[in-house]
Formats: sequence, structure tokens, C-alpha cells
Amino acid sequence: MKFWSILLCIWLFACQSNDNQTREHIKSTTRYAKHFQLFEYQNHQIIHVLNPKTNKLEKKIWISDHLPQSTNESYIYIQPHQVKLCPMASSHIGMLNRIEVLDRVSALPSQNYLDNVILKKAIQHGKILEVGFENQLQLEKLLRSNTNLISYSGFGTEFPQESKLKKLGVLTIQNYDWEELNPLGRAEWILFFGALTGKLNEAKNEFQHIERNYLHQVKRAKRYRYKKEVISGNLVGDVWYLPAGQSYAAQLFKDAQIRYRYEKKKGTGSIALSLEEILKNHRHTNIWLNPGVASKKALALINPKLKHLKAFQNNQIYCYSHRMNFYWENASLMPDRILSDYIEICHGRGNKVLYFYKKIKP
Amino acid sequence: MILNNLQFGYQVPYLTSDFLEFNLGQAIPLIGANGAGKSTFLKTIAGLIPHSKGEIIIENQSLTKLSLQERSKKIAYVPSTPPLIDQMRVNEYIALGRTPFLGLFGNLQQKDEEIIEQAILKLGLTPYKERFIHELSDGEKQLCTLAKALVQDAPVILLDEPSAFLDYANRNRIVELFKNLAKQENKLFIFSTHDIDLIDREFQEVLYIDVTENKLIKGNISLNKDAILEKAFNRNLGSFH
Amino acid sequence: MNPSLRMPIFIFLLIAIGIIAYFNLTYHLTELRWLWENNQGEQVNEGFILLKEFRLPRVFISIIAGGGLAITGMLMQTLFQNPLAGPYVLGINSGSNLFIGISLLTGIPFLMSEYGMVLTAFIGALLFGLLILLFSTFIKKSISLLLIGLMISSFTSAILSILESSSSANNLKSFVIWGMGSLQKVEFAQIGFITITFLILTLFSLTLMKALNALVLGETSASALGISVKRERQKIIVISSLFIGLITAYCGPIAFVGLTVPNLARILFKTQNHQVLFFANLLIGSFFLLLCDSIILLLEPYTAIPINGITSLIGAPMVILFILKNGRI
Repeated sequence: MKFWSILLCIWLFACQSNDNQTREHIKSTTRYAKHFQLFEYQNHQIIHVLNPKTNKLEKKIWISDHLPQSTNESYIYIQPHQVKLCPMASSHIGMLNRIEVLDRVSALPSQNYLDNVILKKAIQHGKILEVGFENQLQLEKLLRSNTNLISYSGFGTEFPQESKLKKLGVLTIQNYDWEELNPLGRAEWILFFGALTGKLNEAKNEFQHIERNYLHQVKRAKRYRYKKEVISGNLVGDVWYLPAGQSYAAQLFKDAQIRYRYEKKKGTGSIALSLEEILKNHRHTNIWLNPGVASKKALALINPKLKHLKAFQNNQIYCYSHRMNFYWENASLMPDRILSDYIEICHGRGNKVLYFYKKIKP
Repeated sequence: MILNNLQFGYQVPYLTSDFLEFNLGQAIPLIGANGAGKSTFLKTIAGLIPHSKGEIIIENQSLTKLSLQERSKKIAYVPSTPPLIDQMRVNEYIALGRTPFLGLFGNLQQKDEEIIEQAILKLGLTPYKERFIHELSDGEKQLCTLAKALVQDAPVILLDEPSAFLDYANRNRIVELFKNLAKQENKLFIFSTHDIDLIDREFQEVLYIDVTENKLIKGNISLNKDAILEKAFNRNLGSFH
Repeated sequence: MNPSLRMPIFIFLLIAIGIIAYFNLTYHLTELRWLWENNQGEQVNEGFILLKEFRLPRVFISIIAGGGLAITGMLMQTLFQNPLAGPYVLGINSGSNLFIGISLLTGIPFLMSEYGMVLTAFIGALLFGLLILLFSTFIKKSISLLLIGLMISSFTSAILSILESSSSANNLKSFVIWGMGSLQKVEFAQIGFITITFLILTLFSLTLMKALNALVLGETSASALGISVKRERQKIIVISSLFIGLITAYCGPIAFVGLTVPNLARILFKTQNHQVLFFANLLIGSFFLLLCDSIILLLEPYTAIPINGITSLIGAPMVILFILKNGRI
């Protein structure tokens, strides 16, 4: 008897996993994004969030307004029209804004990094509560805000107190948009938020729009045969960090027909060089992008020796630092705008207004 | 050396003396019960603890008016604990006794070197002079502190329990040495000790602290030993014999 | 070591410093042409700019900071009679930390000038130096001062941690980076000022050696030798504050040099004679920091290491090795 019951269990288990496989056999909707998959079924959607380093499945999300009769421990279940969201990262806000679901935001970590006016007002009126960042989450406040979902930038680790929060009815979902190397892949995460909030069709429309604009800019850039060279990044302590050859930024440089000395350097993150090396390599480089500060004075404070760079002497330093929060909220959604800024900076005649970027204050 | 009407102890005076006069060229033991104030007395004379009243006069000069540096040329003070120092050679240690005489940058002059060499010779420390202090025995260490006090070139040398860490033979020897050195160098040695038998044998004049009156008194131990001991230790030692 | 070997070792150290300095100045400078070599036809001699603006100040400050920290460490170790003391025990650097911290973490610079950071750190160190000096007038035993220094450090780091928790990521980053120390921020134009200050401080600290020698015997014995412990202690505090202020202002906090080198010097030279130890610390300190910077320079193509990482990485095993070999500090 015992033997048979065990066999029965095994058979049932095998059937179940088989069942899963067949159900998920349809193709993911995503075309550029590498770290999440979206499967659309008749009455529900399933999202898989994948770890960028190991490609392992980190979270399975079942999305439907009608919960299935039998639930499975390995999934988390979301009813998109009930979602009350706390977005932990700026880029999430930009995406929610684009699909017009900011009214679903119930809590935010802090208004210090906020650009969006609607959310700022909501905080003032007490409709949105400030609950603090991941490690300093104010649990009572979070519960008072009726939040039931937190989206946060994933780092391959669990959200602090994830299981405890789950018991309190607050689900957490990691988001790896910042790990996407393809500019359109990063923007495609708008589908992720579309699905979570029941606005998938709107999100798809918006993404089509973004895709079209981006590819148009890429085409535009191709007209410029002569590639200008740039340096990028800045000193952190004694080390100058630049985007590596396969990084998001390097991809944008490539698409903007910019000559980037380190485009062949392997890696998706950053490469570290000394200031001396930079000075040696970039004797004639006239344009400096993304120093991370808004004025030359601030650069001199970081290290007075930056003065020896040609781009510094010629006042050709561009950054988004004058509207930092605006940039972080919207940049991942608007790679087309970044690209058009780059094209104008490197190839333009200086008569077009830049969207994100600005020449830093002398 | 003259002590005149001294009141020891800074905020709470607890030890006094009448007019006391000491001649150079002798060694005088200081006895008294534990906690009676032997160390306070020595430190006060050395100028390490301020006193509230009275005068200390050495070679017709009142010490109160002298700076710490000038005072250290008159009085050398040797604390009770032997030196616990690593990485210091004997000659370096003895040379520290010349500190009051050194200039701004603290360099030893020819004359200083000679004085140090003499002291080393006198105390028979020549074989040890390149050795490290921490390698020496307690007796040898005590000789080094004595040498350091000698090079300080002061007429008065105060020693706080110099024999506390020594074995019996060495105790005899060091006391003998005090007497001889005092005579040879024409110095005044005052040293505190608990070794009554030794004192009784070797000395006539002693300094003692009368615990009932909290007073410093000079007396002759060979004449009235029992009276002195009774006052110093507040009991009649004679009755135990 | 035998006293007769002292001079040869000093000379050896000087030569070694010269060789390492030359290496650090010219390593990997491919396009270097010295000023006296012909460089007409080209307006900018890039190699020479690198040498003058990057390498020379870097080598220079390594020598100054290494020597200065070692001397300050020696002053503290002797004053407190504790081989674990270092230049930062009095909490003087907490002043720099606090001022730099407030200015970086709140984003409101005290002095918004090109030399703002340098001045902020310097003023912070001096103010705290004065504070400690004030405390020292009420204190008999130096050991109490050690405790006060510890408390001051804890107090300021508490303030800083409060500031840190409410500051923006960027500001926090720049503060953390400042805390890692750097030998690469000094400019050629500042060399003159630093040299003069350093020489004056060195000369003044030489007048402390007599007192330090006596302080080895303990504070009571030192007073019996005519040393006014309180006054000498105050002098030590003033000179240390200025040394720390100068070095922290230009390099940030540099770990381990001030703790390691005085111990190494004592073990190597086997003496408590501070006239000898002074020069030993000066030379070994400079040599040590130069060597650390050479390693950074050598590893630069592969990876970037902050100076504080290297000093501790080399310093700690070195001390352990010496202790195992010699047994005593």
C-alpha cells in the first residue's frame, strides 16, 4: 500500500510539472529585454524575472484579476486592478507615468529623489506616504499606505524581510531594467509594469512608439560619417571609471556614431583607469560626457588636475546633472532622447535644444 | 639640606615637620608604617607633589623658587619600581640622568659623556653598558637607576624603597653602596625602607614618621630604638621579643 | 641593531628613497622629455606635464605624509607609552572628518573654493587640536587624554553616521571616497607651502626629543628629571595637530603608516633614543609610503587600489613578521 501511494505521488508530481511545461510553451512577448519574460495567455499573463548573471529564474508572477482555484507555492499571484504599488527606483516611476497609472502608487521611499510633480503633490496631500528605502523600510507606514506590491531594483538577493512582508500581504518583485545592456531592452520593461497594472496594451503601444523613435535616431546618426571621439565617466577617488565595451552606455555611443576608445574592452560594467592614463589617451578628445556633476567648479573640487583635460579647457563637458532626478526617472524609457542628444552634441551645429543633457556650468 | 616647618600634602595636609637639617656626605634611611607618607615625603621634596607650607633649602637655595629643571639639578629622585623598558641600552638609560643639563635638541656633549662614563665605572657597570635594560637582573637594574641618579649631579638623592625588589645579599650591598657613595661624592642619600634589622646594624641616624602626631622626626636609632619603633609603627615592638 | 650600524642604515634608506622616488616619477612615462631637452615645434610636452603635475606632487606628498605620519605616531606612542597608539588616537583627525563630512554629506561646502576641501580639513584638525589642548590643561595623566580622544572620535563618528543615513547617494559616495585617502590630489603649485610648513614642524618637533626620551621612563620620572610633563604634552598636541592637519588636508586619512612605522623603527634600531628614532621614523615612513605608491603605480594597468588598502595590506603582516622574529616591541 505504502509503495503504491508513493508511486502515485510521484506520478501526480510528474504530471503537474509536465502540465507547467506545456502551459508555458508559448513564446515570450519581449524582443529586446533579456532579464524578464512575458507570457500572454487568454485569461492571464505570466512574468518570469531572470537573474542577469546566472540567467536563473528568480520569480514567477501570475497576473490575472481572477485568481486560479488552485495556487502554487512557486508563483506569486497579482490581481492587476487591485495593485497598490511602492516603486523603489526612479525608473519605475517614469514607466508608471508613461502608462498613466500613477494613481496606483501608494508609497514611495523618499521624495528627495523625486522629479514627478503629480507624485510630489500626492505626497504633500498625504495620499502617498514616504516609507524609506529597502533597508530602512518603515513597516507601519507601509501598511498604513495599503501598499500590496513593492517593485525594487534587483541585486540577486532577496528583498529585506521578504517573507515577513508576504505574510503581511505585501509582495515584492525585483526589477532588472538597470542591468539591460540594450537601450531598447531597458525601455521594454514598460511591459512589465503594464502587465502588473493591467495596462499591458497601453504599455505595448508606448513601447512601439519608443522603438520606432529610437530606430529612427539610429538611422539619422548613420548619416554622419565622421565619428567624433568622447570620453565618459569621472574620477571616483583616484580611479576613473568608464563604461566597458558591452555596456549600455557603450551601445548608445555606438548607435550615435561616436568613436569610443574602449568599445572593444570586454565587459558589461565599467573599466577603471588612472587619471594619468586618461590624460595620455585623450590628448585630443574634445568632448566629455557624463561627468556626473553640474559645474566645472565641482570638477575642480573632485580633483584640480582635471583641468589638464582638453574637454575641460574647451568647455565641452555635457551632463544631465542639472536635472538629475528627471533624468533617472525618464532616461531608461527614452533612449531615443539620449541618442538625439548625443547626435546633437557630437555632430550637430549647436542650434537644437538638448532634452536630457546640458553643457555644464563653466 | 634644611627642611623648615614643612606641611606636606597639597589639599589635605597630613604630614608636618619642624626644623630639620641634614648634612651632605651621609645616607639616611626613612622608616615608617605603610601609608604613613614615606613616598609623599620623598616626592614632595623632589618637587613632584606641591606642598602647602614651609621651605626646603638646599645649598642655601629655597627649592620653591626654582623651576622644575633647576630643581632637578639639586635633587635626583628614584621611584620604587625598577625600569620596565624595552629596547633601551644601559648607557642610554643612564644618559637620561643628564636630561636637566641638555640643550634644546637634547644632544649629549663631550662633558656629559664623560660624566656618564665615570658613573658606569664607579658602579662597575662597564660590562653591561651595551646590554639592554630588560635583560638585566633586578640588582643590576637597581645599580643602573643609581647610576642615572648619580649623573644627574644633584647634591641630594632620594630613593623610594630601593631594596624592595632585591634579595638579601643585594640589600646589604646596596645600602653599603649608599653609605660609601654619600661619603665619596659628598651627597645626601635619603632612602625609604622596611628593613629595620639592617638599619639597626648599619645606621645611627634615621628619619621616621611619628604616626600619632603625623610628624617627620630625625632620631638616633642606636640610642632609643624601641621608642622610635613604637612611634613609627604605633606599637611596642620590644614586647614581642 | 648595533649603534654603529645606524649611519649606514640611514644612508641606505636615503638611497632607497631616491631610487623609489625616481621609479615613481618616471615609470611608464613613455613620452617623457625633460624640460632641458628640446621640445620646440610642439606647444605641449605631454610627458613633462604628467611628470610635473602628476608624478612629482605624488612622490613629494608620499615622502611628506609618510614621514609626518610616522613622526606623529612616534610622538603619540611615547606620550601614551603605548605601542598601539597612532597619529589618530587624540581624535585630531576627527575634526577633519567631521568638517569634511558635514561639508560633503550635506552638500554645503564650508569653503567653496578650489582649495575648499584642503582648508576645511585643515581647519577641522586645528579646531579639534585646540579643543584637546584645552582638555589637556585640566588633566594630570596622559592616559585620560587618550580616553578623551577616543570619546571625541566616537562622538564625531556618531554625528557622521546620522548625517550619512540622511544624505544622498552621491554625497555619501564622495565622503566614503575621501575616507579612502589619496596621494594624487596635491598640485605642483602647493609644493612650496607644504614644504615650508613641513620643515618648520620638523624643526619644532626636534625640540621635543629631550622630553620624549625622559617620558619613556614614565611621567613621574620625567618630571624628576626636570621635564614639565604638562607643557611638553601641550607642545606635542600642537605639533601633532599641525602635522595631522597638513597631511589629512591634502591626502585624507591615511591608515596604518603612523601605527606601523614607529614600531618598525623601534624594532629595527633597538633604541629608545628619540633623536635616532626621529630620523628613523622620518626615513622609514617616507620609504614605506613611497613603496606603497609604487605598488599602486605598478598595478594600475590591472586594477586600482586605494592607498589605504595597500598601506594596511603591507603594513600589518610586516609588523607581525617583525614581532615574531624579534619578540619585543
